[in-house]
Amino acid sequence: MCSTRDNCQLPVYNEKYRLYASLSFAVLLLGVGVPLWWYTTAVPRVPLPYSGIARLSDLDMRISTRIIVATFARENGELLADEVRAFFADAEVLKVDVDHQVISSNLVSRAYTTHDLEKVAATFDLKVGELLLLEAANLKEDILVGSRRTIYFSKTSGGAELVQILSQWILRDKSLALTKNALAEPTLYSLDEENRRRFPASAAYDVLLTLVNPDPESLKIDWNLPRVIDEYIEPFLEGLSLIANFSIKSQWLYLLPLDVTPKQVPDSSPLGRHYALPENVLPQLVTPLEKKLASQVSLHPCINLVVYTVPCDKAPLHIYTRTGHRSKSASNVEAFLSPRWGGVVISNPPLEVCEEAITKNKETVVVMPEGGTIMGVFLAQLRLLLGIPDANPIKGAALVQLENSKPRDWEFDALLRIRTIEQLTSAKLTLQSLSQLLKEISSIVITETVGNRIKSALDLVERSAELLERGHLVQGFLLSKEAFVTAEAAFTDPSLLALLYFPEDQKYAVYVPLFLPIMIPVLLSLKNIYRYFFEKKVNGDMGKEEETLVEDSEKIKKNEENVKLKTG
Amino acid sequence: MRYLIYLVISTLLVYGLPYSTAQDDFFDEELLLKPLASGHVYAYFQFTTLWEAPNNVQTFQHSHLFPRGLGEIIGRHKVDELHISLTEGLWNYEKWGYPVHDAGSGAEIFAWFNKNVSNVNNEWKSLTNALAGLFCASLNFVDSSNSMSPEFSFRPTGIVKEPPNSSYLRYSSLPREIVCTENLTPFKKLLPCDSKRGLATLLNSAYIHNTNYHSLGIHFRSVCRNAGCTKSSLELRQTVSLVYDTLTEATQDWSIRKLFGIGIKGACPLASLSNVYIDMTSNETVHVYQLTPSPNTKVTSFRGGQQQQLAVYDIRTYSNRGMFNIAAIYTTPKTSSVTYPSVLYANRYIIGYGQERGSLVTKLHNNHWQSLDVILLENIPWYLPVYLHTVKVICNGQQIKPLIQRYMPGRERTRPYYLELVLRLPPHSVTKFSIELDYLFLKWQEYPPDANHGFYMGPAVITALLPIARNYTALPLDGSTITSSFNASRNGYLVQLRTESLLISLPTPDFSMPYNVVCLACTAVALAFGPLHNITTKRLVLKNVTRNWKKKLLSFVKRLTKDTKDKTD
Repeated sequence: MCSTRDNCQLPVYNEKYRLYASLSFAVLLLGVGVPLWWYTTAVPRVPLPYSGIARLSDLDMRISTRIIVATFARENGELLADEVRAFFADAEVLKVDVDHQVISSNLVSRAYTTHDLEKVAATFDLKVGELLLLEAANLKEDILVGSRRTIYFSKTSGGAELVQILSQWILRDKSLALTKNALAEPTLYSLDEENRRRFPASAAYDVLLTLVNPDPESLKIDWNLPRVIDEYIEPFLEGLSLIANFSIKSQWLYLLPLDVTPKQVPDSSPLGRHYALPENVLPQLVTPLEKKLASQVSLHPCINLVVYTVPCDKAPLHIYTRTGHRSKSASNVEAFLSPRWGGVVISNPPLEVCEEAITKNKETVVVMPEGGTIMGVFLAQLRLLLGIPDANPIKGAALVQLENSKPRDWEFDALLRIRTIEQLTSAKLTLQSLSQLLKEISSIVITETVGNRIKSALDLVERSAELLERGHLVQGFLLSKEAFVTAEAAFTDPSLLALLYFPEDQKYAVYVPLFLPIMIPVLLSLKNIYRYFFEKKVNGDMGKEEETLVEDSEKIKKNEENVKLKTG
Repeated sequence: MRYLIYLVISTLLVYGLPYSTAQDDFFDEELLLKPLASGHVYAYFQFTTLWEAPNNVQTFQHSHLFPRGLGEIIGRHKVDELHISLTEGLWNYEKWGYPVHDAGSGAEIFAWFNKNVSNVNNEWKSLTNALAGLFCASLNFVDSSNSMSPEFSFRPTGIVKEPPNSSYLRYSSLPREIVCTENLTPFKKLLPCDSKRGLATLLNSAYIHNTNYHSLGIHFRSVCRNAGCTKSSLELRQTVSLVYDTLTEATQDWSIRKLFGIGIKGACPLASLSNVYIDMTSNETVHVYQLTPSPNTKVTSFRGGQQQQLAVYDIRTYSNRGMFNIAAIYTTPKTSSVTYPSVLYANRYIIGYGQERGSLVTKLHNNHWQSLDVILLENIPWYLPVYLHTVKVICNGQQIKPLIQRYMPGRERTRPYYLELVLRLPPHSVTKFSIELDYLFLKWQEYPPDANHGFYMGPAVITALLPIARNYTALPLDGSTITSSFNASRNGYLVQLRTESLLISLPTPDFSMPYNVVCLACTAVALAFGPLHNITTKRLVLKNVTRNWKKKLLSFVKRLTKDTKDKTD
């Protein structure tokens, strides 16, 4: 305290120094300390295009499809084109452009076989995704759907049937819309059978063919699996190589019996019995198989194709439907399909072989499975599992039979459309849920790579949608695949989890003991600083303020005197 | 002569009964039982799959007897050779001789990668991760910080086209790994007959995990298909080594049923060879016992100056009548003796006190009358920094100079200390290798949950080519099945001894310390800051008190009553 009067003559100066001290504390702590602390402890988060991702909900995914109607007479063509246009006018996903052309009747009049017709159709330069409705003269049926991108119709066929074929078999507008809606709002829409069977989108699949021999002592299988695969499955998957990468693998498993005991049923066959496998136990067969298939070592979704060979003492084995009927098949092969998992074929040995083994009391029989039949079943199952459904019969319409195992061109186009929609919707949903997650949880680190992936996935989705709108199906599909893969990679990046488990309370435990005792006096001193600078400035204008100040200084003087009196 | 006939039979068995015309792979199952001089019984199972195919990705797409899961992983990571062992217990080289496959306790893995692998470290990391999933073992903890590429100790055992380059080799050991049923089940799943038929039915976890020593092994390599070695085959050996202690039982008699809890049901129908061998060499000398039933054949094998008597049981001929059992009935009272100690054995320990400095000592015993050249590989974790200048190799009071020395200093958290020495051990000597080390203070997050338990240090590997085959059981390099070790005299007999893995207690902090420090430091700062702030920014000013507290209280009460009056008015 003041010892002499001289020292205390300039209380205003003293107050100034004290104010400067508290000002420097405040500047140092609030101006330097807090930003430094903020900078060093902030979670690194790259800015993301949140608005762009939000805008994806309004993104109109439409696939433009061009249909060319070629007729002999102009009016007929126009009529048909109008009918098709009108039917697909309010399609949810498709945008159908219909052109019509007039062709001379002698162009197709000499075409009698489907091969000839295909030749004629080849003169129209059709791109992937486009369709040609071609009037033909010599057709057995009203409408014939070719294996390329052409539908042939005769003069008598009505437009209604053509539209029905287009809608149900080829363009599948309802199925496309359902695929999109069921992904986006799974609670509102339930999947149809086709969607439930199909494997979810992926950039690569493993196809694993397994031959199960439950009793190698009594049954020997003579079958060259790699060769059969090369002959049948390889060409089919090669036809789909644009859609995904397929790698085909095969293995043999031994001593893996069925987990259920089939019931013996007497019948009139030479063996006098067969074994019954009720339909409702079929799911139970898949689980024990799954344990030994070693499909978990695959990096991609694994499509399982299992051949179960039946030994003679349990043969022939037949599947019974729920209603108690035996499925009617002439061959020794029975099959069932497990959605999104794969297919199982039960291969019975030929009756003669078993008969001979029983009469001659042979211990082992050598069986050569019916390769063609089994592979045919597997191809049919693969088509369903990959998303090429069977066409429901329509009256008056026929399909050109498949020449080889490759899918028809229009089936391929339909699959491209379904996959594109699936991948785009799924990429969109992934991006949206990721952006929602990142917005809600502020402690998630967003690294440069994740940020770039999100940005590029968003860009790819938009570009793909634009290309589809303009009718470039293949490019649009490829971009949608890339968008899907990039979005998945961004969502599953392990760096997102880095700080997720760092609890908030630990932060407070560290900060509170430091910040509370230091910050309270500093923050309170801000009030004094404010009063000093701002209230002093305005006291020239307001006399009242000055008075209080004078009063204050008088008070101080009085106090000093008091102090003096007391100390004196 | 008898052996010759047997050889003919066995080749007929291998090549005369190929399973299917379309298939080009064979499966053999064998069991070797060897009563050891110490009174233990050594049981060694070997399941061999030979596949006449080259080692590439296309091969592994279509598999028959070869396990597809393992094949796919091998093909995907372009592995030329792979050795995995999961072991519990320590093999006692001094008393038990040499096992067929040496394995350090815990998990041990080493692999040779193909020459066209660009980033070996990445492949190694993803290979060990995939194998961790396949075997339910913690192999995913293998990374570059505990892996090394030794130059001399591990050579490719299969065929190689060019001289091996150790930069394609990775070796790692996880001494803390505990081997249990969860590893045995996936191991059995890899067998073509699973554990449903054949010798694999004997692998019951309850009888395996109460042994003195048990070790599972997976050994994959490429071997020659023909004499000229123009074509190559893939060989997979799945091995189980067990050591039972018969001295603790009431009688020394043992049988298949007593050891494994079950008799042999029959051969695996897919196996071309399904045999049980019993090493009778010690019969009539160390122990005296009778085998029932009597074996099909007896084989006398001469190998590296040692004569070996083996009883051979072909399971197929015995299992016609159902389950069968092989028993050894001892006619003499319990005996245990060390007749001929092993030629070479080693042990290792840590000396020093305190938690700052220590010294690692490895003792190498040479019982041979000649000097022996050995390779000593020390695998020292990065948290135990060693000093190369303190290396001392002392034998009979004299310092020995290593013939070759390779050293790569470790780097914290990225690389272990690698030290490889080639030593010449004098005849009948004990050589002591020692090196000084520090105990590092780790970051607090690097301590395992039970930090005071300590840290394990993997075993040292001692590689030598023994001149004689005394107590030696391993297969020759060119052989695939146990039969190939009969009459297999070679120039040298390769052994790879593993020493004890050591438990080291590093300085362990009190883990609540960081929080205590934070709280204490913050309180101190706050305590210091408060007065400082007050002194510099405030001044104590005496205020005139006009009224005393009684008057204040009175006026306050007056005001209150006035307020209530106003309100009522």
